[in-house]
Amino acid sequence: MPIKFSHLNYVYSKDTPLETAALHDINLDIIDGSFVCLVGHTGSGKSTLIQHINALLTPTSGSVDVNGIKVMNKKDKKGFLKSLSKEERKHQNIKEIRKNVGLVFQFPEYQLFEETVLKDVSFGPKNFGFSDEEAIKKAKESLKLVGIDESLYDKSPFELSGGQRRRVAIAGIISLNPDILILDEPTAGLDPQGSNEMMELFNILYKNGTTIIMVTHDMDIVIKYATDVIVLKKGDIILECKPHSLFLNDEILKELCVEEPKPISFAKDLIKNGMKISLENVKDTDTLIEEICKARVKYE
Amino acid sequence: MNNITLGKYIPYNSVIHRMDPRNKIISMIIFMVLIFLKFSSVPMNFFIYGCLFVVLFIVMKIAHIRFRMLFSQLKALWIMIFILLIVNLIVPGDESYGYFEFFNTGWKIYYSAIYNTLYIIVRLIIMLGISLVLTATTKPLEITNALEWLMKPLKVIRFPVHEIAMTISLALRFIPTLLEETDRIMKAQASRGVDFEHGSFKEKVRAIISLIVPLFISAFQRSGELADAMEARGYDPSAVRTKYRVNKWHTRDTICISIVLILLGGLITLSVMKIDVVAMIVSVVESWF
Repeated sequence: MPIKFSHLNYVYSKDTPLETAALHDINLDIIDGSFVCLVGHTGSGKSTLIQHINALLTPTSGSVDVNGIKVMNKKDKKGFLKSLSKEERKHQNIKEIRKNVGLVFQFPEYQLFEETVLKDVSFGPKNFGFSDEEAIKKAKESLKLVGIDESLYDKSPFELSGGQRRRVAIAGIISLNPDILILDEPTAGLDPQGSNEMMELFNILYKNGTTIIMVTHDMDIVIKYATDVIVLKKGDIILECKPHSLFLNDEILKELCVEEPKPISFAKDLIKNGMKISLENVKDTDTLIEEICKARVKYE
Repeated sequence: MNNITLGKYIPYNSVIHRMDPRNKIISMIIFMVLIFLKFSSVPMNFFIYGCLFVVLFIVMKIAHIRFRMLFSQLKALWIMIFILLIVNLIVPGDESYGYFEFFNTGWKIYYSAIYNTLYIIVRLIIMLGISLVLTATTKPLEITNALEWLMKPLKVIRFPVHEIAMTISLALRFIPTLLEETDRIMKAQASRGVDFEHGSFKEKVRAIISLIVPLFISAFQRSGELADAMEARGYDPSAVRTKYRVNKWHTRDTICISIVLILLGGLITLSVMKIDVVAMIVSVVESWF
């Protein structure tokens, strides 16, 4: 399910005094099986960008192409549909996008509403036409994946703790088996352990072939998991690169006001002092230790 | 969701924006009274409504409010207007204006029913328009400030003026927040396959439940947090407090309220004395030819 943004513009409250341009001329390709991290200041357009992929916002101009289905504004879409044959037109269904693209909003625990955890998680699959049994089966699978104990299935989601509620909400999206999973700061407000567990879960999904697109401010996550980084600033993409190049680019780091992750700065210092380790392989403390060992072996 | 403009402050720097909110509230109330005055004849009623419309239009123009905004808000009222029309048509009306028979079925349709419905529509539009002018040009905080000032005399009978003003300002403050929240939850549920626009009645009810439950929960949570935050800062409703923003009465306010009062006086005179301006104009025009 490749995603292609072409010449996408988005303006909030167009034609009113509150008009604000959120994105200008975004051109972007996201290939299958990548783990993309979106970084940038608050208000740089990250959330606006990801909502387009799920057709929750329609572009003011330009388009997003998700696996051949175009997200455009009404006028453009009309023209586009006219150019297609009848057979092709059937394929252009927005619901199809929603089924294949799961979007987890920031603080997703606020979207829970059903009486029981299991019912809430199976709500999504039911909406997309799965039978009750299938939906329950999918719900159980995804609850297991996010680590919710079976004893909690029949509890009200509002009795759970904040962290558990977030897991349930994420399970509600994962139960749709999306090919693309979009996450808006999924680890915000979680303790370090909870955050690590959450990231490991997404990593498992990524390894199983799901494309992950994540908005985050946590550079440790970026370096450890991402395959690509996109830096946004005031509605423009100012950098699109591999995570390591991001940390070699001091200017951007300064712009983002972030400190580089500890393993990276440590590795940089080692390189500066003559140790031959390759920065690309350093993802966290464990990989850094491995690299140092390798370098030592070569040295001896 | 973002197309809801009711009660939204729109920042501009017009004369109306700069007016004293107390003046704006009083003027609005007087203007609303004007709408409900009854005149001697049907053409006269519509003539006066026309004049009020022109006044409203000018005020909206000065305040940079688009007419389109008013009509986008009327959309929700169409059903109500339709029901009103039906009720008015079924209930036997005032025969003095005459009636006609509905396609020879023996069902009498009174002209007064149609007039009454039209009156209500026009009144609704003008009322909405004038309240739109108030809310679009005055910050919610200014409105509550002004309300608190206007209700001051009620303190004598131990009416909790400050508490009410505070409650109103908090309620107003949370309208945009709740709208934003609604938008967010709608999007979150839409990405779980909820279709808020299409589907059968049962599906729609389910869609609404999936929106309302989370909305209520977050509203309760917010109010709890807000109460805690206010208490933590030592908020005491009975304490005497100074104001950061002090209302100032300018000459423009005096002028505005004078115009409104003159309008009020004039129209009351026309109404009480049963002066039919339209008939007078018609007779003058006729005498010319």
